[in-house]
Amino acid sequence: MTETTPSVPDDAPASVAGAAERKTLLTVRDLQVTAGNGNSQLTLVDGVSFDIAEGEIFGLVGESGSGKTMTALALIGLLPAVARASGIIRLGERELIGISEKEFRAVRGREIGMIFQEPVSALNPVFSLEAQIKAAVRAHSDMTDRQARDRAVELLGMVGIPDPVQRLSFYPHQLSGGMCQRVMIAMALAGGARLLIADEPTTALDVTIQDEIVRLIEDLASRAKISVLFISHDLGLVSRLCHRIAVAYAGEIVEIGDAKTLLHTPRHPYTQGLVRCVPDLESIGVLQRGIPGHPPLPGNWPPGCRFIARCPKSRAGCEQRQALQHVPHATGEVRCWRAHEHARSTNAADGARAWA
Amino acid sequence: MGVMPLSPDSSSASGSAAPLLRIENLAVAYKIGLRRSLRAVSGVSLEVARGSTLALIGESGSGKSTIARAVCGLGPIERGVVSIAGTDIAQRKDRAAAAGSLGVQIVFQDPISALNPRWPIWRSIAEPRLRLFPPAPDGHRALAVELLERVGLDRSMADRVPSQLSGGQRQRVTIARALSPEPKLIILDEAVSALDVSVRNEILALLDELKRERGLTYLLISHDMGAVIQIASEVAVLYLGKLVEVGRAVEVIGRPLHPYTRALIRAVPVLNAVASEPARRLSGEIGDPANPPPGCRFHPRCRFAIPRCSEEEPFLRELNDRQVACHRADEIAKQEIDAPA
Repeated sequence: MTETTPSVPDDAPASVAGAAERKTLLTVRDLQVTAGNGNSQLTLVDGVSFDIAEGEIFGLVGESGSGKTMTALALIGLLPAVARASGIIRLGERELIGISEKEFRAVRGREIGMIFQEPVSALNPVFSLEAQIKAAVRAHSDMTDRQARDRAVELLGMVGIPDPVQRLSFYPHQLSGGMCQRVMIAMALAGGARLLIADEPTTALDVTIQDEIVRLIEDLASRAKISVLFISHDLGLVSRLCHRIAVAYAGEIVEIGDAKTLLHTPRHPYTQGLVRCVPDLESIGVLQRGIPGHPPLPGNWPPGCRFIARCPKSRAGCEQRQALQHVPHATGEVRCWRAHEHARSTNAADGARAWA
Repeated sequence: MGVMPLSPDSSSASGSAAPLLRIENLAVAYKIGLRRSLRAVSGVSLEVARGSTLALIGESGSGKSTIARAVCGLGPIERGVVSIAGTDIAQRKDRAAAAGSLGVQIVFQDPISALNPRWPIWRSIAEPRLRLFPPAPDGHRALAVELLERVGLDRSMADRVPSQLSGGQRQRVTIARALSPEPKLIILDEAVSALDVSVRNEILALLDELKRERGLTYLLISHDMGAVIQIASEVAVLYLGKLVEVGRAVEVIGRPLHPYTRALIRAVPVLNAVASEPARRLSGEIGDPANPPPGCRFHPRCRFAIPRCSEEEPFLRELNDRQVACHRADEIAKQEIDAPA
C-alpha cells in the first residue's frame, strides 16, 4: 500500500536516554489502519513504525487527525468496527495483529492498559471507587472479594492517593480531576499491564496537576518498569516527560528521535513549527506564529510530502514521496529530503527563526 | 485594600482615562446545602484599562471563572462593585442584559456547545446583534458574512451548520459572534484551551489583530500558560478566591514574587526548561473553598510558610512594580529565600 520502507532497525531503539540496551517490549512495524470497505477505503494510519523498550516513556505527538489516537486504539484492539489494522504489532513475544477479539481480551488490561482525557467522565459516577477498582481487578484474576479489596488499596497507594483505605468508599464527584486520573491509572494497571497507553491524559487538567500526573508516570516507568506510550499535541509536555518522541502528521511519522535532540534541533519543518508553539518564558508578550493551514484529511493526502501545503520551505522535488531517512550525526530519523539543510541550526530558537 | 491601576504599556498616556472594567471588593458565594455556603471569590479588586488584556490565572477552584461570570452578568454576586465603562451592574436584576448593552461579550471554551446546532452559522453570528441593534432588512446577514471573512473563514460557510466545521473554525465563529454587537470588552473564558497548539497560536494572532483594529479589551481566563505568555499585558493570580499577585505580565510571569505564582509558572512545560527539582514543585491540591485555611490561604502548600503565615492574612501590597500578598515577599524579592538555581 505504501512504497515507504520503514528504515527503523530491527534491534532495540536507537537510544533510551541514559540507559544501556533495554529489552524491547513493543514493536510496531508498518502499521496501517484503514476504514471502510471495497472501493471506499480510507487510510488513517499509513506505515507507522516504532519500538518501546521496557520502562521507556515514548511520546507520540501530532495534531487532531494525525492518526495518533487511531494508532493507540490499534495497539489495544479497540478500533471502531469499520477500521482494520495491518502490519506488525508485537508485544513481547505475542503478535497482536489478526488475533481474535477473545484473544485480545486476554491482552487488554492484563498486558496493555489505557487512560484517556477527561478522567472524571471516564469513571462511573454512581459506583464507589472500591466497586470500580475491584471490578477492574477481578476482570483479570480469580481473586476473592477480600483479596481484590486489598489489591485495590495497593493500587491506590501505588498511584499516590493518600489514605487509600478511606478513599475506597469515595465516589468520583468527591475527587478532583487529578485524583480521578490517578484512579484511572490504577484501574488501567489493575490487571498487571506492562504497557500503559496515555491518550492526552492531562489536557483538561491544571498545569500543577499535570505536573503531578507526569511525575507519577515517570515514577511508574522508573520503579515499576512500566512502558508508556504518551500521546499529546503538546510538544513541551512530551519533551519534559518522554525519552524518545515520534511526531505524526497526516497518518505518517515525520520525525522520530530522542526527546532532547528533537526539541533542540528539530529537523522536519513541521517539528520546527511545533517547537515554536512551546511556551517560552523569555518572550512574554510576543505572539508566536502557529502553523498556518490545516493538515490534509485522510483520503486527500498528496502523493509526496504530506506537509507540502503548509511548509514554508517546500520547493520543487517535495511532491515526490519522502521516505523516513536516518539523520546523519543524530539518533533520529526524519521524513524530509532537505533535512540536512534544516539541521544546521544548533538550537531550537535558531530553528524557529529560520522557519519564520 | 488598594486598587492598582492596570494600564497597558503605552496607549493610556493620558493617565486619567477611566478603566473600562472596575471590580471592587467583589464577593461571590454559592449555596451548598441548606445552611452552608461556599465563598468562591472574596474581596477581589481589579481594574482593567481600555486596550489591555488582563489574564486571570490560577488552578480550578481559584475563582477565575466565577469572576468572569460575574462580569458578564451570568453568575451571582454577593457584594461588591462590577463597573463597566462607569456603570455598576452588581445591583441590577437584569445583569446579563445590562452587561451586554454595556459592551461585554464572552467566548467559551467549547464552541460546539456554545453554538446552536440547527442554526446556520450566519444566524449564530447575527444573534447577539439582533438583541442590541435595530433590525436590519436582511437580519444582519451581510454583516455576519463580513465578520465571517474577517475571522478568516470563507463566506460559503455562512449557510453551514456547526457540525460541518472543525474545532478551530467553530471557535472562529464564536469570536465572530462576540464581535457582531460591536463590544468593548470580550471575556475569553478558556477560549483557546481546547485547541491544538498550532491552531491556538493562529487564533491568538487573530485576537491580537482584532483588538488593535477595534480597540477591544480582553479579560482572559486560562489555565493555558502558553496563551497567557503570548497575549496578556497584565496578569492577576488567584488562589482560593483571593488575589495573591497582580501586575504587568513581564513582572508577574517574568519575575514572579508570590510562591504560588512561582510554582504555577514552574509547572508549565516550557522551552529550554530544566526539570525542576522536586523541592520546588508544588505539592498537594488547592484547598476546599468552603473551608479555607486560616491566615494565608496558600500556607499549607507553601514551602516558605512560617508560623505568622497561618495566623495573619497577608494583604496585597506594592513591591517591585506589582502587588503581592505574601509575608515573605521581601525576602523572595531580595533572593534571601528561593533564589534562582
